[in-house]
Amino acid sequence: MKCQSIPRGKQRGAALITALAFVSIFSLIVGGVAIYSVGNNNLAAREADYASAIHLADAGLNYELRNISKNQFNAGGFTVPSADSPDTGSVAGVSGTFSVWVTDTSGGTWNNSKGEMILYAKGTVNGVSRQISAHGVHGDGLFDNYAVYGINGVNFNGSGSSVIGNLGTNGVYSGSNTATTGQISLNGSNASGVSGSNVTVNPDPVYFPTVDQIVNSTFPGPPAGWSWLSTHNNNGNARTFIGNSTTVSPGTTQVSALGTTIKLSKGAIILPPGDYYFTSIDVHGQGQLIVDNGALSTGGTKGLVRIWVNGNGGDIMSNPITYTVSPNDPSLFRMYYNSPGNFQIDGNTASGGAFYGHNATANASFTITGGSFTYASVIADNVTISGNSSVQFPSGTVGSSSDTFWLWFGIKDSWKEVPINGGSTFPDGTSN
Amino acid sequence: MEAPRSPMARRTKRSGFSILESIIATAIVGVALMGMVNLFSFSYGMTQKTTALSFAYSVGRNSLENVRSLGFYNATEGTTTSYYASNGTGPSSTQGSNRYRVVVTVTTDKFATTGGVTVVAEDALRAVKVVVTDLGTSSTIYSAGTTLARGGI
Repeated sequence: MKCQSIPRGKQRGAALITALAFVSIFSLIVGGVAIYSVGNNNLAAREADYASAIHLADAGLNYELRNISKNQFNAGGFTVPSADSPDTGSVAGVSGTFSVWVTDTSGGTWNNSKGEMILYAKGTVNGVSRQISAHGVHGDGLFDNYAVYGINGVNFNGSGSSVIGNLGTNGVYSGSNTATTGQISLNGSNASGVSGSNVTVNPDPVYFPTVDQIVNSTFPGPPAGWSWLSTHNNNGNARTFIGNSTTVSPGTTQVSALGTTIKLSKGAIILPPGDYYFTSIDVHGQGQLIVDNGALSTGGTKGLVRIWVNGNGGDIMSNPITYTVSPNDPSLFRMYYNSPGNFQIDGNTASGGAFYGHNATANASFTITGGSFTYASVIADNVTISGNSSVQFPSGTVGSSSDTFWLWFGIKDSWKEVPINGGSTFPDGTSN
Repeated sequence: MEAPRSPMARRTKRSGFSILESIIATAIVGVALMGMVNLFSFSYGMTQKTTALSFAYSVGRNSLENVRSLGFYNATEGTTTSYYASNGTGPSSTQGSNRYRVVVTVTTDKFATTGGVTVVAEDALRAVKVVVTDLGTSSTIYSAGTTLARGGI
């Protein structure tokens, strides 16, 4: 029988083929494991980057909140960051960056007078970006914290003068620390003059808006500000009567042409709710100013009385201001003083409101004197309290929804993550 | 006419591998095995690294959230160090045989004084940084940071 032979070529190389097959199979297995491990590691690293990115975005949000609250009125030191020109930064020692910008609630340009804002912040780490958004709202207003704030200084003349409430200044405090019953804040490197357990020293000054900024924002026109106010005020609604009585009732004679100056030594000028514009005020002798925020003279609804003064200074209110609103409501009176000089206020007042004077180029000052007792928040370039006079922070809320400037902003609720470069609303369609 | 081959001669030519073939095959398998061992070792190291990173990410994020939850005024200024074991137990204030070190640093850019006592200024920005270090390799495996501001979150 003939033995069938196997071709030589099919016998040889079997070991090599087996070895190669072994190597191939195990290479695939081990290679797969390696690829899986690397992929898993990349995934974990990417996950960590995503987490870091959201923390950096959060850092950006807080950064801008502080920046706006601290610097918004710092002339030349603050620009509202926009999507095209965001603020950027990082956290020292942590890789990655953030960028942040704000809009108003409609997606337009934000400014302080709008109060609320939408903040957007994007954190980026190793090429991974995440974006968040939050609804920012105003906190403390101009008149919520201080009975007296002297932007350039506060001066007490006479041992009997006092402030009942908190006081602050960016300049020199001249007087005893016990002249102020609340906290005294010395803000910035120019602030000095007092020490004690009720004195807080802050490294940076507090910036306030000028009256020009406020009037321009309140009356955007066109033409804006004083130009608008000089022709669109409520001076024509003022009423007057001659006599000593301060009882105000509907039907009191309306002033036919009050003009923009008050020089009164007899009788009273009654100002129903509205905006009044004057270049000078001189009330002395038996003259009296009645702030009719209770609207008794018109029989209408109580409301805000705002007096805007833009003249040359040297103004005086020798007799007490009478406020008609009842119960007391200090949110319903404002006096904005832009004149480069002094406004002297004498006489006891109840209820009160807020007196505000800040001129960018000259001192707009208030002097509380004549043994007066004024319930108000008084903020001005310089504030002098003399002649055994006192300023007391009013009971009730001084801040008003009609105020358009705030010193502090905070986050309403919490932030939400939004698509990168997304719209002004969140994915669920809300804006908060 | 060719003489018939002996059975021995036929067996020798038909069965088994040549020495050369065996050597080559062994060499291939040997080299491949070395590569595979290295690759396996790499995979093992990578898995360890992933485990460490995942742990560091979790504990780092947790530490950051803890500071955030304290808020702007209450976050403790300075550096706080804690340790975690490789099985996740912790935190511990001492290193001992723990595998991971978590350092939380809070730094404030502005301070005020009230009655001579130093406090955080209202307009300060406080930076929070978390760094997680693998003490086995002495390498930083995760870091993250955020800021705290008055009125912020």
